[in-house]
Amino acid sequence: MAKNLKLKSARAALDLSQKQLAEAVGVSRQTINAIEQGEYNPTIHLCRSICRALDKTLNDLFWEEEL
Amino acid sequence: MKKEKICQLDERQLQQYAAVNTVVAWTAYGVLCAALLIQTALGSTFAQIAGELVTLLAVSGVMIVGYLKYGIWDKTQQYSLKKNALLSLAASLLAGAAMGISSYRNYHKPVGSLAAAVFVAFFTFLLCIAAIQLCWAGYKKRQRWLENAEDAQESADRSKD
Repeated sequence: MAKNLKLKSARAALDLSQKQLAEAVGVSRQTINAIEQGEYNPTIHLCRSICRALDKTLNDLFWEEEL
Repeated sequence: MKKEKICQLDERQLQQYAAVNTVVAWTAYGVLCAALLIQTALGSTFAQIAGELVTLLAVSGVMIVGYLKYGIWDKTQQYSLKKNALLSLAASLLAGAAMGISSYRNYHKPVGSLAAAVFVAFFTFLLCIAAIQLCWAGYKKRQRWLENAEDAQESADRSKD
């Protein structure tokens, strides 16, 4: 699975640490890290929570552009 | 009043927790089977292995009922009579060997021990293949029910619209 750089940059744009985002969506920091590293495929429920926390849409953060 | 337990894990941790529990459960299952075979080969009586046997049967029963409930056959394998026959053969050879060794240790009669081994192996094979076929029949029936239940829900939704 590819790294989720969109999530990482959206988080960085709001100057949030992985820990702060994790607390905002109610998961562990390791889970946010695993999503960013492409090691974990989150449920739609968690994707939506992350989108709300970062004020982004699902397309912005989780849609992979076709190559 | 009973306090409701709050889950301390997030969704990723819950998946890892389930994965660890799966490994633990299958390891325990394998070790239990091995212990039963070794104890039988060492000449333990039925009374001495009854506890392990009941545990194994109970765990197997819970597993089969759980899989049937959700219409699950196996994680990686599809149904195949040939594979099931081979598995049953492997189980029957192990059970037969354990019984043969046990019988020889107790009575020191090679022919009688061989006969006991063949007898146990034959009936273990029949029992295993019958049990697997029975589970397969149950799985197919359950699958059909689950699929039809889905259809009924959809048609109920359609009639609402």
